[in-house]
Amino acid sequence: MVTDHRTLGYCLFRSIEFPFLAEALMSNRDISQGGQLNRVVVTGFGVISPLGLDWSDTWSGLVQGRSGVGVISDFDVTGIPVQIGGQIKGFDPSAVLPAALVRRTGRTTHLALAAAVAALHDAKLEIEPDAAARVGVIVGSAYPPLRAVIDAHAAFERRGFMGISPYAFTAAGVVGPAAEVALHLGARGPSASLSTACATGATCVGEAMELIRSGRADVVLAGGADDTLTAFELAIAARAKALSRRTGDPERASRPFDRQRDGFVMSAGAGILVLESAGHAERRGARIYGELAGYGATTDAYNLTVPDPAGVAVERALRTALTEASAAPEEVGYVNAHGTGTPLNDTAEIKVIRRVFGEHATTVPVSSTKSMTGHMLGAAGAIEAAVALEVLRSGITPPTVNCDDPEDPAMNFVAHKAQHHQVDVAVSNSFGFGGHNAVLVARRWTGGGDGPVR
Amino acid sequence: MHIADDEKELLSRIAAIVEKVSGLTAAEVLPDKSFSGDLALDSLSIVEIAFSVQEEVGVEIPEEDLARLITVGDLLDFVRKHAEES
Repeated sequence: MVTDHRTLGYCLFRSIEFPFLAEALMSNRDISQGGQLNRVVVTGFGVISPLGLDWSDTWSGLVQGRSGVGVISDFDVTGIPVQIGGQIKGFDPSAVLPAALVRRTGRTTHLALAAAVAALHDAKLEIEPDAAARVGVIVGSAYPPLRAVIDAHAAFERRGFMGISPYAFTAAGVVGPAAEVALHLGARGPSASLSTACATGATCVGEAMELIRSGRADVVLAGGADDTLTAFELAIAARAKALSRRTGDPERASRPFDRQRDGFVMSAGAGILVLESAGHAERRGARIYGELAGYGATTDAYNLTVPDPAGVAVERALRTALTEASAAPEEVGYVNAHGTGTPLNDTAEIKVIRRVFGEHATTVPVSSTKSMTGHMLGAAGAIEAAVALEVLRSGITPPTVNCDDPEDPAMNFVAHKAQHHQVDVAVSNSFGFGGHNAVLVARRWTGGGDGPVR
Repeated sequence: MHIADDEKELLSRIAAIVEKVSGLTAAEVLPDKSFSGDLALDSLSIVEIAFSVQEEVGVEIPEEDLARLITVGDLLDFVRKHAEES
């Protein structure tokens, strides 16, 4: 058969004219509902943070404005100019995971596994063997398992080939969190570890939404985990001038949107959400936290570490996510900002919020929970998506602590103390080194089951 | 009498290692059990057991010897023989 180039050209032209059709054809979407996409809801949270070993303790810490940042005590910080961080206190992986699994995996994977188990438990969901093929896992980390690599290399230097553990090869890989979660829980649908640096958690949740919308999975465990609190990782982050040097005042060091901010505080954490198609969740009578209605992903392509000061790509991510959720900017009742507390991020983020929300920018509550948790890197975006969903349910917006002298005094940064607001639409911003931007929009769930995305 | 006690002690040390690496219970680890058949261990777990024996008992098990250690008893014999040598 001879390929007719004119026909190919015609197809391309038609695809541009009907982008939705092209997308449906290319991504193997489930078109059993006449090409309509499945709605996505969240039914379970698994969170481990410097504020607590579960979601309940983490949320109550956030509402109280408690800081999880302290002086590092888990390792020797001598000679490192930054000696503070958000450590996870009292986490014992052996309490929730089999000994052999704990042994062959590193701490980031332990956190991801424990959070995934907690998320499924919270969703009251069991993965039955005949439904396993419809359960996916999208879990990533911003950083590779450096601790395992460093330990294995030290043993290799000291004792040569026979000094290397046979699990060093798998432990040094970057798929640990997703692969071990899928293996441990028996999830047999699509799985992957995705990374977009500090936006990883939001990217994993956003891409997991796409798996459900398109009908490629009914349930996806999605989120991120990172444990970069080692002497080496603290030192390299400090060397990159990313971290706050407010070492003598740990609880006041993470100061998003405050004029005296001087960098972020590095923390460990894990956040896994259970995403389900609305139909699946309603059929099994699940408790629904809210709907994930919009996701916008863009890239600055401006600089590896410096955000585009004009925020052009961030603005596009935010507008895309809102459009996907059919939400006008004035409908947004809460923004969980990326708000790292680095001078450049916060200024650029304020600019975008001002542009997108217009007059509403001075009334919508915008807070950075990183002021309390520190920056949990790959976990941050997923935990902050949980925050946005909990705001919809509870009507409480957690504060930005340490925001004593706000850069934009006309905006409501929910300074110091939580506020009460009835919120129907909440936004969570996440941006990462590499210019990765991911914005999620959550909507209060009012029922509607299988119905199509608006 | 002494030899039997030593034998028992070595078996319990190896059984503890197998339990830690594989999640099997130590009581299942008996001399006549084969690693890959009876105990259903994958090849990486078997290397990990040899690695732990090396770390904890101090007897190095080269890869070419490991391939010939089929049962728990074979491993016990190997360790006993080489512990005497060192």
